[in-house]
Amino acid sequence: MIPVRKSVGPALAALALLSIQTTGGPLGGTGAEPSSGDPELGRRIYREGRLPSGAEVQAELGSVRVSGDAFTCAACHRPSGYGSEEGATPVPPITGEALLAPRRLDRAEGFRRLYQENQSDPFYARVRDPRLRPGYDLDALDTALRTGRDPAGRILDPWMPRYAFQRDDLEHLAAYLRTLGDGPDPGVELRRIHLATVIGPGVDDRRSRAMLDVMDAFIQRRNLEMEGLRARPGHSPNHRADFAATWRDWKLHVWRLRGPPESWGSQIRDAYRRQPVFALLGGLAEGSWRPIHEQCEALQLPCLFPNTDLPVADSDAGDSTLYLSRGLVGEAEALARHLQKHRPDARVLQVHNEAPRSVAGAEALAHALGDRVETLALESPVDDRTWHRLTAAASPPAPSPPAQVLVAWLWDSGLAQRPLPEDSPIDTVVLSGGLLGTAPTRTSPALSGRVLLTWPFAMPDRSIPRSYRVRAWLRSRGLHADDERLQLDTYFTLSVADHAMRHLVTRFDRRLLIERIEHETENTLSPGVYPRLSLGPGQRFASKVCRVVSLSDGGALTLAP
Amino acid sequence: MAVVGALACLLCAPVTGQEGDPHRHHRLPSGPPPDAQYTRTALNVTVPDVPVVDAAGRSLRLHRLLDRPEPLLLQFVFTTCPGVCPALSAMLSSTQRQLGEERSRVPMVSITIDPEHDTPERLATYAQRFGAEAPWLFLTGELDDVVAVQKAFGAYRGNKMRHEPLTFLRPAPGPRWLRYEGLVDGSILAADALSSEDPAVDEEPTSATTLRR
Repeated sequence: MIPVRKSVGPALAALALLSIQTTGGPLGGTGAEPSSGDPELGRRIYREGRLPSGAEVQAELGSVRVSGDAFTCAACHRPSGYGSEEGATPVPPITGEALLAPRRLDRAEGFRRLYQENQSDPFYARVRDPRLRPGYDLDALDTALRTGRDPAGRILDPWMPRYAFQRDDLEHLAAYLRTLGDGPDPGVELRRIHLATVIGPGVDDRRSRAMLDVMDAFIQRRNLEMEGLRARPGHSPNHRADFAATWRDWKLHVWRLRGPPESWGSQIRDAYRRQPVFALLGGLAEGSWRPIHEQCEALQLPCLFPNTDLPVADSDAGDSTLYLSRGLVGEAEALARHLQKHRPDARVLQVHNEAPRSVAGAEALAHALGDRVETLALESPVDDRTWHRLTAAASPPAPSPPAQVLVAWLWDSGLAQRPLPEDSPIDTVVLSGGLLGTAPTRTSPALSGRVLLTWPFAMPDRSIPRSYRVRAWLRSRGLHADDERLQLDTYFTLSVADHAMRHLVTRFDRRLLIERIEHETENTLSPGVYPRLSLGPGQRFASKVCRVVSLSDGGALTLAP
Repeated sequence: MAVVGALACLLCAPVTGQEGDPHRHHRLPSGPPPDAQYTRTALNVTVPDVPVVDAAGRSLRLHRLLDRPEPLLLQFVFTTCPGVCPALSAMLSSTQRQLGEERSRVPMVSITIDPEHDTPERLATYAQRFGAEAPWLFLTGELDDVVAVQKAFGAYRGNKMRHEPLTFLRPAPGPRWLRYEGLVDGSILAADALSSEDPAVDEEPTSATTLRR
């Protein structure tokens, strides 16, 4: 029998709830009356720093009076309530389970922090100081928040603000804290974690195969490792058996969508109903990711690094979907910044076709540059006739001003070789690196030094050691580089998810998964598709840099001045 | 290198071993005393001459910006930082309140350590949250340049989530800076900034290199 420890979260929470309903309970009031706390009002205090009265929560940090959303509970203890690490300061968990119970020593948790966290020595010193204490009741919570003294009489960290809540507000907050950490979330079984990936209709079979092959190989390898660990739990001198509950296989479900994007949401809901999953990994779809994004937000299902260049880039797009980059919108924004800085007076003629990716780039550039941009929609590929039409559009009849910059949101790398008419006002042609995928190797002599590319990827001449290792991994598993960027991105997604999942230990909470990924992405070695990958609390796009580069004949890229 | 590593460890924690020793945490103390709010040390800094951009989008040179006669306060923060950076910025905000009419005599600089994310617009929103008043500038720039500045101050920790609660005060023109680690009362920063005497430090002056961990 393999000694797998079951999460005690739900049992403890249920016990706590029972206790509160009958006697008032630890975090639910001290008298015989049941708790009157409203978790929703507590959530506003915790997440938004706003009291039921609508006023901002007030606090003191040292001698400084602070208020507002900068010092919410969720800022430091994170939306999951499981806490975090910041510099030398470990932020402790304040989930219902963590607060109600006396603090206990947990070797798996301590091991994770001591050996799997890349932190400073003072941090490790703090982790080794367990600060044991009895469980909190409502009075103890009130005392800790007001005076900074925990139930053992120890002073809390000076970075913990002091809050003076009214009793009612405290009960609301306590009611919400009890709802935190009540996992495991759906998709987690005792020995197995269910995960899914999504493939939309119309996706090229070679691309979906390239992604799925990497996923299958990674998961097969990972499950073999788990099997090996489970088979020898007692042979470790380092209490490896303490981690037995974390050794769970991954089971990947492939959700293939059909029909129009409007129906994808219901298809995902149906698939989720049949088999709940803990998270979505990667994925491929033609067109905008929005239908899948919205469903993940509705289900609060982590959607990790889908392979799309049409992400949902709205600022209030939710917190369950993490993207590799801002895609075409990011390219358009980078180009707009470049043109604002270096060609502030130039007029821009841009051209797109009917494909969603092409339209998205054009719309984002028009939004960023306003009436400096003239937009042309093409219904057919660029041939001599349409090229003539295009270049003619740059010289409209007076009084309309001529355009000096031509931006093509097209897949046609041959545009770099097309000659411009001698009298054309166009002096710069801009192509999208994200749409082309690779830099054109030739430019026409007339355009020499005047072709720019928006380039969201790492510069080709930059050597990234990690990429050699991942390529070797792919080769050793017989995976050919059919679509190398897709394969490297997929490998990154899986390795980040694996890394974060190991940090969960047995806390299978989706919000915590997202928080660990936000925290650790910067530490995860990037396989080199993008210049750099990092996230932070609340950040949704791992690659934030898109360069505008100059293309020379022969395909060499240099940063545009 | 080994000497620098050992010296760095000695400065960072009272009891420690070699930098690469996997068992060094066994010899570390069990945490700082609860009443230790901050330490004040001194170090010499050569500020790199890198381009930066302020929250209004103006391009500036950092070296020139800091080359001024007044006492100057500097912090490293980032706008999505969960807890420590808001507290650091609240400290400077409190310092400005403590300074009152003397505020214009103490320029302040907050440099983002997440420049790829923290655009001038985001910095402007962040500054507004803390009621930042002139002369308090929020700066961003190219990642490599910002890393160089952090290294010059001995504040670079690789991952931004490992950053530490540091405030730097340059009392007078020159390379000597005071380094505050921890939660410092705004009234102390204000008093130290305006003091005609050099505030007492916990350790002898050193260079930023020896403070790296």
